[in-house]
Amino acid sequence: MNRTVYVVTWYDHRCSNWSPDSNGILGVFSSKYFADEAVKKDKALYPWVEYELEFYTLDEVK
Amino acid sequence: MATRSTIAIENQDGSVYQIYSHWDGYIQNNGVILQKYYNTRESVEKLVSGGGISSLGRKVSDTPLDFDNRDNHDYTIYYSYRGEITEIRHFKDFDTYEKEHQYEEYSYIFTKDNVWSVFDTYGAKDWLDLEYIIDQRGITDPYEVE
Repeated sequence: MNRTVYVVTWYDHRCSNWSPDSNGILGVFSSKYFADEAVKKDKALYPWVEYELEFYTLDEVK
Repeated sequence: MATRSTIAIENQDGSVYQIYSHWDGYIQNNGVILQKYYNTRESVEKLVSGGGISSLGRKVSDTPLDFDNRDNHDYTIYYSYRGEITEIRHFKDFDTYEKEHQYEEYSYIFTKDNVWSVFDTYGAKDWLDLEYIIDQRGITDPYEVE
């Protein structure tokens, strides 16, 4: 079944764009709720980081 | 040493049932077995209804099995097979489950959307999509290796 998954990406603008520390994937989640909760938790630790939530089909991210 | 895990199901009314699983709770075993062999609500309900698990197999027997005979890896071995009563914990909703549930090395939940998510205490410590993790890590079915 090609269901929807929620992908959270983070960006740390304090780092140079070329640095691997400047961005990454927080996780791939089966629901928006889990994705939002993960962002909330991470944001509490790293308040300066920006997050982006996008949704794809599972096949697209595999 | 055992790798302990918990297995939970989120019911359609939002409540959650949770059981304990003692052996091989890592994603390469329990994770793959849950994803591949317990991927319908009916099968997960049947699995959880048996209570605490010593070892997870790809099938649930309709009759009690010999607890000490582990030659047959196909079947889930419940503690009840040796007469032990184990708790099926009930939580009124997911928030309560998150706050109060028994955390083990790995926690698995079959959500209302009929999808497995995993909380890996060695990893991200978020509820990640189990099917994606298995695919991303190239984890194979332990039954196909045997």
